[in-house]
This record gives sequence, C-alpha cells and structure tokens, in this order.
Amino acid sequence: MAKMIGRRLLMLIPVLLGVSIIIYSILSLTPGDAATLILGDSATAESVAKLREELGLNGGFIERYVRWLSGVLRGDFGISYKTRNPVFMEVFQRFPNTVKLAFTAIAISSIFGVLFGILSAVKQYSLIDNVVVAATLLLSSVPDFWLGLMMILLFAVKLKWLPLSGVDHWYNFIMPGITASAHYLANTIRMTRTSMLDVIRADYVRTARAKGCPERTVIFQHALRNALLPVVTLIGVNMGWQLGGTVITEQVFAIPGIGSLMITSIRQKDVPVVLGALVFIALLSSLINLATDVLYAYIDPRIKSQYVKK
Amino acid sequence: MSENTNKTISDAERAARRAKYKKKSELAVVWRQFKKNKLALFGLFVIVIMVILALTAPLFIDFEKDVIEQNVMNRLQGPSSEHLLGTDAYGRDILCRLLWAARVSMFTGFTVIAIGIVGGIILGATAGYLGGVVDNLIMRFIDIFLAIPFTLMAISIVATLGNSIPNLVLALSLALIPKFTRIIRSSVIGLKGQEFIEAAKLCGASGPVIVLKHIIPNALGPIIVEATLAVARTIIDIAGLSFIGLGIQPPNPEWGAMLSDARKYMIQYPYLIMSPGIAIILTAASLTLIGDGLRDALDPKMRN
Repeated sequence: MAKMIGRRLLMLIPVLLGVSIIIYSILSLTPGDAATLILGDSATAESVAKLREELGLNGGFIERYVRWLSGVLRGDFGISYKTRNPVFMEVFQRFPNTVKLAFTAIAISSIFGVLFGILSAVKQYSLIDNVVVAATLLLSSVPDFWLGLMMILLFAVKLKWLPLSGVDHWYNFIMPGITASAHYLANTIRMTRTSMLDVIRADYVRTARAKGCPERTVIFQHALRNALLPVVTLIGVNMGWQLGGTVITEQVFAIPGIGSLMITSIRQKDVPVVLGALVFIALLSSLINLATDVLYAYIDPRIKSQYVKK
Repeated sequence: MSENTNKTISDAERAARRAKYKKKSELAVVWRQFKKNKLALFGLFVIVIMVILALTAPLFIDFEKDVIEQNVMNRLQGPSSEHLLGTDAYGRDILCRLLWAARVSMFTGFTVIAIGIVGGIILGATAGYLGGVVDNLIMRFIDIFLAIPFTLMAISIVATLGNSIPNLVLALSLALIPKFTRIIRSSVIGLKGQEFIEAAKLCGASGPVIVLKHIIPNALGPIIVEATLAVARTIIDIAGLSFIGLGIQPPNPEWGAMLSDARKYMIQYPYLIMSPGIAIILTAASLTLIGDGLRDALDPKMRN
C-alpha cells in the first residue's frame, strides 16, 4: 500500500507542474501592464520601473515562471496587486468558507444520494422509484444558481425561515449547500441506483436469497457493500470538483469564499491572486482524488491485491 | 487493364451500396428501439420544436426592435395578452428574448460539442491506435487538464482572453475534449484487435483510413450518447458563466444573462426569474431524456 501511495504521489508532480504551466501561460496572456494598472496612468516611468522590479515582472516568460514556481515551492505565492497582502494569506482567509460550503454539499449529495439510490433500486418500477427517477432528471437539469434564487424567494423572502446571506451560523449554509449539491446529488442517485440494480441481479445475491437470508441481510450485507464501490469513487471525484465548483453558488449567496475572491480578482486584473487560488485548488483536488483511490483500494480487496503482488 | 479498373469500381460501388444498406437497417433498428421509449420521444419532440423556433425566430422577431430596443414605459409589466411572459426591467418582451436566447444557447452549445468531438476523435484515436509513447504523452496531458476543476478553467480562460462568444466556446470545448478523448480512446483500443481491422490492414489501408472509416463509425454509439448529454450540461454551463457575468454579454439575450439581469428585481417581480429558468430545465431535461433513450436503444442487451 505504502508503495502505491508513494508512486501515485510521484505521479502527481508532473501533473501539477503541467497544471501550473498551463494556468500560468493562460493568465500571462492578460492584456495590460500590471505596474501601470496599479499606479495609474499619471505615474512616472521611474516608479513604474521600480514597482515592476518589486513585483517580479521583469525578464522573459520562462524566467518569470521559474521565479514564481520557486516561490510557490517555498510557500510564497507572491503578493496581491490590489491589497499588497501575500496571496497565500488572501486565499487562506477565504478558504474556510469554501470548505464549509463544499463539505455541506458533499454531505447532502452523498447521504441523500445513496439513500434514495438504494430505495429506488430495491423498489424498482414502484411509485417511489418513478418519483426518484423523475426528481433525478429534474435535479440534473436545473441550473444550480436558479435553484438557489428560487430557494431565496421561498425560504428567505416568503417564509423567512432562513437568512438571505451570511456565513456565521451553520444554518447559513443550508441553502448554499443544497444549491451546490444539486447536480452531484443527481449523479450519486443515478450511480447508486444503477450499481445496486446490477448487484441485486448477481448470482451471489441469488444464492444468499436461496439459502434463506432475510431480505434485509441480503440488501445490506451482500448487495450494498459491493454496490457502493463505484459510488465511493464518484463521491471522491465530486469532492475534488466541488471545491472548485462553488464559484457560482458563492456568487448567488454572497459567500466570501475562494470563488468570489477569484471573480473579484479577475475583475481587478489581480493576476497573482487568481493564479494562486487556481493552483491551490488544483493541488487540493488532486490530493483528494489520490485519497479516494487509496480508500478505494482499501475497501476493494481485488484492487488491493493488484498492488500487493507488484 | 480497363476491365480490371471497371471491376474495381463496381466492387467499390457494391461495397458502398452494401454499407448504405447496412447503415440504414442499423438506424432503423435503433429508431424502432428509441420509439418505444415514450419519455425519450417527448424529449425529441421538445427539442425539435425548440430548434425549429430558434431557426425561424428571425422571421417573426425583429432582433433590433423586439430583443434589444429598450422601452422604459413598458418596464416590469407582468404577463398579459400583449406580452405573454411580461416585460423585463428595460421594457423588453421576455418571450421574444427567451426565443432569441434559445438561438444563442443552442448555437453555442452545438458548436462546443462539435469542437469537443473533433478534438476528442483526433486525440483519442491517435492515442488509442498508436499506443505506446504517444498514448502515454496524450493521456498524461489529458490528466493535467482533468486536474483543474472545469468551472475555474473556463472562468480563467474567459477572464483573460476577454468576454466573447468565441472565447466562451473555446473555454467550454477545452473542458470537453479530455472527456471525449477518453471515451474514444477506449473504444478504439477495444476495436483495434478485431478481425475486420486486421482485414483492412491486410488490404493495405493506411492508419488514418482505418481509424476514420472502420473504427470511428463503430464507436459512434457511445459518442453520440455522451454528446447529447454533454449538450445539456454545456447549455447549463453557458447559463452559469453568463450569470456571473463571464459569458454572453448584455444586451444580447441569453438565459443565464437574463437571470442575472432579473436578479435585482426578483423579490418584487418573481415572474422575471421563472421563465428563463424553466426554459433551461426544459431544454436540458429533454436532451437528457434523448441521451438516455439513445443509450438504451444502442445497447444490444436491451433489444430482446
């Protein structure tokens, strides 16, 4: 196992290098000179030159990239053009809100996704199944930000049950969590249902029934454990994507997270912040994917044995 | 010599005829299966109507007068017989804007998918057919793209290159190419070892010919299914990016941009945010139903 984790961690290095090169090249296409942008048009050529030196804007593309990268490796993501604070600090301040939102969404989509997926598979073609399948279709087709707006209208404006925005209490995250989870919930229900239906028809489940196991034991002991394997991967992948996918939800509910930091920074052409936030999230989602793969190998002995033999 | 040439032509013709016949019957089988699925038929019906409306919109809607021109006297009027869905904050008819937005969304959506498929076929087929080092290089490159969450990638591309439809298309198709590359690569690898490919090779067909004429047509099923589902997702994504101000720009109508405009007034005038949202759901849900129906129709296991 340790060997597998080590090898996967090594494989992460070229991927992350590639990610940083791609993001760096895209963002370096941003038009306009950053130093002039900060100081305004009335600044003297001297002060612009001084600031360029300070921000590390001099030199060719490769030189700048190498300088930036060596900074990143030491934990220095540069300084924000706008606030002059270290980028790492800016990102880290906003990070807890994004994490709270992402995990609320993952919790909602995983718990309800697996629950409804099982229910719908066990009672295939029943009324419950049809309702769940229809709801899944609706959930996967609804634009998440629109769902958020509708919930604001209903729960915050009309019924006044939940606050419009804010991040100080747990109930502030209910509506944003549901909004961000909609598509993932639909995916999880679909995946659990399909996988459960496959397993229920498997020979060993028939054997379990034939030898007289009670239905509950068959479903939970025999079927569910195997059916959940692909779902675990899906949840892991979702988690990685979710961290980067809360941008729109953060905009709807005015949550000061990494997504809204990025949008403001993009509007202000604050390239180091956008760059730092993107690389940070890419690193995080790669690590989560790796963790999922390890977990997957851990719960599926067949995969574990593949790595042990090697 | 001339006799020989004649013979080859007739052979080729016969093969073409046979291929045509085979294709037709295959299509017929798929259609017969597809027809049984009432929900998928409903989805197809909705999409066909929307495509027709979107294509013919210029015949009954004047872009400048009905979609763009502001008329403050008429602003924020609820649904009435004159304006079926009401008017927006600038006094423009919502139904007209909604229909025009369907044009924008569908055109952008289908372009994105087309680029995604072509890119996916080029990369996926090359990787799958050649294998080895090339395969490794391409797939590692794809891994890099998959490590960046897609929304963020699209946002940074649109933000740096500027807000325009071509840049939006570029950003969204870059997000799709890795997905299609993977699907096509795995079908190519699956088909590569089969006898009819060996036969084509022995006949002296070159690599690109084998891939384009023999492998891709056989791998088309899953590609079409994925493409239909991807159009649905792309239309939602276009709306999302436009909603946060990074997609299609006002005054051009787009469902997400309309929602973004309407947001300021939604508490007093909730009808403003209803219709664009329902339009997106209807389109995305119909496309998903078609995609699911096609998947079942193409699956030989479901044919009995």
